[in-house]
Amino acid sequence: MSSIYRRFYTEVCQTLFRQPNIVDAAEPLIQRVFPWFRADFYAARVLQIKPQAGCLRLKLQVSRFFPLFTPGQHLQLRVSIQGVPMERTFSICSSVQQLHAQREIELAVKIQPQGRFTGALSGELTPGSYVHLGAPTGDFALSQDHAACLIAAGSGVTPLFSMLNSLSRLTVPLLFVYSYRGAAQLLFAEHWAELQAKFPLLQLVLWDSAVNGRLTPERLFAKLQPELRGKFLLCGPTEFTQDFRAACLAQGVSPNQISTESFGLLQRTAATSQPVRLTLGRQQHDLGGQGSILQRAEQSGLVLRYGCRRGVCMQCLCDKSSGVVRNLLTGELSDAGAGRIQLCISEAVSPVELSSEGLVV
Amino acid sequence: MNHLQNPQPDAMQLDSLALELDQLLLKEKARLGQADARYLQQLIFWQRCAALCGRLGMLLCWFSWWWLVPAVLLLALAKILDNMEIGHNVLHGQYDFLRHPRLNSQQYEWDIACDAKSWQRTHNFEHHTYTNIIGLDRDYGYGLLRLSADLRWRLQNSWQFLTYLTLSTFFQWGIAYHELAAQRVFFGRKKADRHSQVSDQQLKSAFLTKARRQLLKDYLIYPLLCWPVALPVLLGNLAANLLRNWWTATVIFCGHFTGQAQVFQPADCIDESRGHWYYRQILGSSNFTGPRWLHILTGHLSCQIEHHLFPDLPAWRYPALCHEVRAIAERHGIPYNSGSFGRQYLSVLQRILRYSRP
Repeated sequence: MSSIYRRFYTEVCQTLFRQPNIVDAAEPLIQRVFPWFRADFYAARVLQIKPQAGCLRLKLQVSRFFPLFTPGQHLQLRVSIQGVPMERTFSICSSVQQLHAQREIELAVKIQPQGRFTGALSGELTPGSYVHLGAPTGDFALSQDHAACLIAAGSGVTPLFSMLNSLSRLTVPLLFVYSYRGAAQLLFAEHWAELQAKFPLLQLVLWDSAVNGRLTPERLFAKLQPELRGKFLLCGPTEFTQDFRAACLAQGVSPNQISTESFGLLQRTAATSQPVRLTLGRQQHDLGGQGSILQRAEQSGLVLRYGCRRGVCMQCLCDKSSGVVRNLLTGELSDAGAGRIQLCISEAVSPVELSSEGLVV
Repeated sequence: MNHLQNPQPDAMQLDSLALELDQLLLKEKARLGQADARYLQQLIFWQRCAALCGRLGMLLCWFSWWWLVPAVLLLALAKILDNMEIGHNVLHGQYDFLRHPRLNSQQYEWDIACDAKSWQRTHNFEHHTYTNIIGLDRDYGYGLLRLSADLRWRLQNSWQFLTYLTLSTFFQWGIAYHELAAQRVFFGRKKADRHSQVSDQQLKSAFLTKARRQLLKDYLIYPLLCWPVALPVLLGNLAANLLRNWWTATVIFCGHFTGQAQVFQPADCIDESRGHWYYRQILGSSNFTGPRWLHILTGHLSCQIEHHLFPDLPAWRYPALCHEVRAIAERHGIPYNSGSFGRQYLSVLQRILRYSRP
């Protein structure tokens, strides 16, 4: 019944306003009064911007319409960089309770000084300015009924910190390993002692890789063999999570007990950039530049549709007619023939020909 | 008028033309940003206000039918802005860089009978690629009017001035049916050399869906919502649609069918260089001058030459480019056709009449 009602409502709105719903149609009028209003995003006011450990920690005030999230989920952050809105995906690092009580969420945005988005972010935002958020998504979550090992590296600690911070009590043992490089790179430094004191069953390992060396599965397992049990949640750079996943599997952990969340693309890039030809309708573009095909298209001045930029959302799917690409998340090579690839995580390792009808924004 | 009567530019001149225009485009594209976002936002706000006030204003007919006049004018203004400055330009992808979820060339749907996707195929692709090439650009005379000696005279051309008036009156339906006519979807024998990316079935269903929604909206739902004054509201909507049709047809005719606008043969454009494409766009279009509000009402198609050179640049930037484009055209010996609105329109009427005789 509700689906019939919904279809009727959509049809009426399409007929009267040529928009799928009345909020979309009224957006220009609402924006006159509330300039921060967007029909497709949740507006959030910046309360605090705090640089910490190479990240920008943003505390955001959201409205009561912002949906409740599951700790570990991520969302799209949309900010206008020099007047042009751009989106990137970040994990929520604050607790569910903080959203519930204060309508606040926090993000820790890793600053890439050369990055088009994060590099320009601190110049665009001041306390009081508005940003726009997508709905939280993702199934990276912690079950409170089973023992678990949470292993994070660098800014990969953000979703795991949200999980830990959202726990009201801990009835099962929990191992939390966080690797960072040097005391200056320790995120959430002010909270760790407090969390350890709050949860006696929590075994917290803060691994300073500047002192102890890079955190590898061998080093960790050698130190903590007996406690490794339950579910594994891994979050960090792609190479880090891949190494730990492989090591866990080698230890006899079942694959469905391991969930991972990765960021960054594999560093093993091709020495020379291969020619890529993208056909959009009747136009042909030879892409210059470096990096993933999506990045190269953008460097060549094209505006393509994209979403998460890390291989999750399938917004940038494109038909490949020929050529070999490397998946920058897994390092896998595609076959040379026709297929579908995600442009954000594909890098050309041979001359590549692509074509797409619907990719242009 | 055929372009061959002009001094023909050689390949080097065309390359230099392409280089200079490309540089101008790059320079302007580097400026895109906040100003464009603000312009579009303001524009849509005022368009929605005009539409709302127009539709609500018609309710005042309860007191006096005279209220219909300002209400119809406001609604016509809203429809013209939606058609020309918002719809036409957004569907060209001029504002795609703003990454708005709905105000982009793939999602936007406008308040005229033509389905946006169909228009993009016939206008963005056919018309803008093959501008004024006889036989390839079906927008040249819309298959109804003879506007050049390159086309064979037929008996029906003798009364083509009346055809022109009828076309202007039903302009939105002409545009809506344009692609279906080419594909002979409902009747007529299929042309062997016509290829399409979409099936006849899809064309039909898109056309009927959009037509149904537009007719229901203006001639059933809104009149019924205003029940005691249903008849004046229905007539008011009809009048607003008519005004919009006449206006858009006039603007578009002034952009392409003025006395000086020139035509090309398919043979002129085989393996065409970018320079020759630019050359053809300048010769095939014509500008008219006027105050800023006139530019906005035409969707900046008063700067048709700039629009044809840079179809995906936000249109409100065209007037600022006119001087530079004109200087570039003159440096390369290409006539730049510009004049007042009245003079250009007069030359359109003369052209329609002149070619109605063999």
